[in-house]
Amino acid sequence: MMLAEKKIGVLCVDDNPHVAEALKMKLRRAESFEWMGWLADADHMVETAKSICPKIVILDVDMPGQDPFEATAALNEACPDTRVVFFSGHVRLEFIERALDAGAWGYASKSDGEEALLSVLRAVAGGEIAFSPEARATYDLG
Amino acid sequence: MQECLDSLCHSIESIAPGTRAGIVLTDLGGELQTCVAAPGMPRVAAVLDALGAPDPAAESARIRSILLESGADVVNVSGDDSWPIEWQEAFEADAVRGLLVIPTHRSGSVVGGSLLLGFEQARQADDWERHVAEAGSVLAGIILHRDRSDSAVRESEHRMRTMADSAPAILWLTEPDGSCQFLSRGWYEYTGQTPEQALGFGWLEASHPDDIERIRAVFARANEDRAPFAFDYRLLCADGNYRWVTDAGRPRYDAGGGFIGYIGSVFDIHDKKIAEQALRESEQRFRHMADAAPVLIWVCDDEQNGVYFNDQWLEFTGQAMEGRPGREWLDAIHPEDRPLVMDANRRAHQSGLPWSMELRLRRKDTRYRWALAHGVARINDDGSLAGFIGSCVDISDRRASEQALRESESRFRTLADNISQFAWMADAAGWIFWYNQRWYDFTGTTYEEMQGWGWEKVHHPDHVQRVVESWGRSLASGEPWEDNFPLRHKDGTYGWFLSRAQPIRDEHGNILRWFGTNTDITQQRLIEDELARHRAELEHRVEERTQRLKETYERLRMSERMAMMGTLSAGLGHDLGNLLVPVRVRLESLAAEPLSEQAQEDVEAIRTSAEYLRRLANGLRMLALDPERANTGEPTELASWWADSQGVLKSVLPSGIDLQCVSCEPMSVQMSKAALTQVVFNLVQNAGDALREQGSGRVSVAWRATGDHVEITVFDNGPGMEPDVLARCMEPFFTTKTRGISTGLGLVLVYGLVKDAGGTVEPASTPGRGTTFTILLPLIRTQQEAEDCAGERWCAVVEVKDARVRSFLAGELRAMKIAVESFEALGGQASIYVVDDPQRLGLVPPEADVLYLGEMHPAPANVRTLGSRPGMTSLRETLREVIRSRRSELKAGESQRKSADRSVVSDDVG
Repeated sequence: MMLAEKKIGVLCVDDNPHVAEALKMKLRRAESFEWMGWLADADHMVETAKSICPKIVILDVDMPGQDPFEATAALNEACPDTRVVFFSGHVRLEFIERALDAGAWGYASKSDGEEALLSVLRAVAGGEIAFSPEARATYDLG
Repeated sequence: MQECLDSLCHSIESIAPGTRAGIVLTDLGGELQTCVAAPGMPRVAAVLDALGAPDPAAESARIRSILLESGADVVNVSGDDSWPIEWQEAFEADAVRGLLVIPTHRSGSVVGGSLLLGFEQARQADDWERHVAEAGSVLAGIILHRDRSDSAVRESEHRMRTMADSAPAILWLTEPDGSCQFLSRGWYEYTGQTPEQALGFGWLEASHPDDIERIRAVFARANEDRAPFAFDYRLLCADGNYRWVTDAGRPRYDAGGGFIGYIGSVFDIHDKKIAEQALRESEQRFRHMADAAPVLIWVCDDEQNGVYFNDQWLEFTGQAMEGRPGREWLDAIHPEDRPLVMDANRRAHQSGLPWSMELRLRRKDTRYRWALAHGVARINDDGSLAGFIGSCVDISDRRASEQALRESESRFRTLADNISQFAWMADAAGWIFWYNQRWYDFTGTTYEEMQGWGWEKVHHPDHVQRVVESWGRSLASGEPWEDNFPLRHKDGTYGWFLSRAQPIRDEHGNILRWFGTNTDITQQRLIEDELARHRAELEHRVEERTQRLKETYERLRMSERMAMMGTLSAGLGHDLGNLLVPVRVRLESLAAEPLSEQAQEDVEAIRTSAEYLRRLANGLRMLALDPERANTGEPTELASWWADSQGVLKSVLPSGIDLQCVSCEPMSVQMSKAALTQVVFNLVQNAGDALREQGSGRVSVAWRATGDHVEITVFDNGPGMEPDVLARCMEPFFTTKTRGISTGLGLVLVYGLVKDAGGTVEPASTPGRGTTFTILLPLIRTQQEAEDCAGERWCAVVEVKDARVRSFLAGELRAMKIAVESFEALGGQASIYVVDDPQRLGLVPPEADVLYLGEMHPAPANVRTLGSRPGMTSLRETLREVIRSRRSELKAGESQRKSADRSVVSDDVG
């Protein structure tokens, strides 16, 4: 019961503040999530994650600063318990494979909507690798 | 003498009265010539005359014997029947019946004549009468003898004159003082002189003035020497011409040995003299000619003894030939050839034909030289063999030249027959008189067929006229000839030949002949043709390649442009997508609030618009064509693609034009979304442009599976394309639109993208009814594969400590319809095991496939080691490979099992 009530801490890394703000609103409305903060790039993601220990990091693909895939690999090393979910408008097989190889647990398309993201986040938090529909289709066809 | 004999007869008759006397004369041979006198017996005289006939009768011969040879007394002449009747009648008519015959004289044993004394009575003569008769016969003999002497002198003179006059020569006699006392008639006829003019010394006037002194001198000396002489001089003939005569004289002497002058003769030798002169001149000329002739001339007699040899012979052979040469001239002929020459001479005599041969002649330096010898028999006027005449020409140099020529010709022919070309020669008029053997070998013809202009027969009919004309032009101009044309092989096929001819000229530049060759260039021509073909092909390929490069370049340029547009669109779509996140979230917040109905409607309208914008954003992202990733391993599921891209596609259509999707079956194609969107975007855009003018219309997009491909069609019911436009619509830069609106590259890009994806695109159009573009792309059967796999009811065990990996594998396996169970649940019954615990490996059945997340050396055959922390991508690829491999094995096993089943059935039946 205790575990069930434990909220899933989420760190958002997206260069678009409007997206971040929207996700913040969305996650806050969803009771199982805890909004732990927002970074405009991945440059300090590992340090931040190490310090706040989010369960999940929502990571955009197309951002200035450090390469999000490299940052993911570094994060896995630094915070094995933190799980990265990519959330992007770019849904390509290549990106999905790089994300998984870097250690990501999920990949959600912004086009699939926020609910799809929340589903992915829940699944990942539950220990599963998860994809939004578009990402799943793209990955399966590959 | 007649008168004397008549007087003697009368005297005897008067001395012996009653008698009739007659005298019969005979010639020296005893033949009775005539009865000289029988005045008292005219009839008897007539009969006696008949005795002088050349063929007297037998009786006459007997009578003649009685009368002339023995002398006799005949008692009864007229009554004796043994006498011929005409005799009896003659004696009876003259009244003579008794007859006494006494020979008058004898010449040797032959009686020269007889005296006949007849009596009227048939009786013998009495003694008186016999004495008178004997005396009369003596007198008659004397008369006869004398008469005969005078007659002989006269006859001798007459005969001499007759002879002199009828002799072919002119005879003359001179006195001791040299004056001419006699000239035969021929002189006068010859010279036209009269005896008065000629006799004495007048005859000298008839001689040539240049000869007179010489004639005088000869005669004077002859008279002094009393010696015979002979010499030639010229006489003036009656016709006024001088002619040569030869005059010969001998001294004559009287019975006492006294010199009484000369007797001589003059013969006309003019013709002979002229002939001799001509002969001399002829001989002189012959000798001059012979000595001047550049040949060796020999003349021999009938026994082949040398007669004459010209200077060249003597000079060449070194033979002296002094005196009367014998057969030593034959020594100059080679011993082996000598009998041939002698035999040739013999045969020439027999046949009358000249001979000719080549023989060896010894030069004075003792070296033998080859000579061409000719000979012919010399025949006298009477047909007898006079000898032989012949000539020899030194032909050693010529033979050497001929030998050299033969060798040269042999070399030429050997060369000509062995060169790889055909060779031929023609005269100045172009008449070909020689071909080398190769010509005949190739054409299978003969010289008789080919000589002159026969070569036309082996020329190709399409070329012969041109060749004749070009050859004719060279013959006329003397310029070297060159032409290319086909010649017919003996098997009927044609080969190409390069033909050349060069004129050969004399020292004056006149063309003697033409030498020509034909070189087989068939292979060369084939190679040239091949090269030309290759060149053309190469040029074509270069052109094609250039065109492709150009197309590629243009496509790349277009792609870049499209990529730029795609990048822009993608950025726009991406940003739009990002913006829609807060929109949706806030709408969601708004919707959660208690709103008025109007506000709720507004929120719903905004949500709808946001949803449209979301799809539009997706469509815009799909236009982001990254050329490097356009088709690499990114298949597209068409239904979801359509859902996302139709907004963008519709946005390029003018208002009033509908965009429809006729079929939305779920299937995937081997082409990235971006590329597929680009392709359909261009086709829809073209369709919209085609429909723009008519203001309304429809663009339909449909797809369906056809075998291994998906057929995607884009149709518009616009005006369609004319065939010429249709044929060119895929060409780069071809456009029917106004420049500025279209680059003419849209369809080129479509073509390139589809082709790169392994597909095809075909336009079809009917004017007035619309246009359809049909795209064939490879179909991806992911769904089918999943079904296949599911049908086999595989199970997998995934027992990995890493939750992320475990989750990933479970998700992948489930996506492939493979059930995932725990080891405890399934034990050793699964087909695939993914484990990271080496202890578990011992529990895995050997027929199962194992992915071991760890290191193992060596690993069992059914185990694949992946390391303790494999990448997801490699893990996924290994898993898929294992499944594919297992599926193939299962299928093969199934086929084998089915085959075995059929065998069993067959055996049972059997």
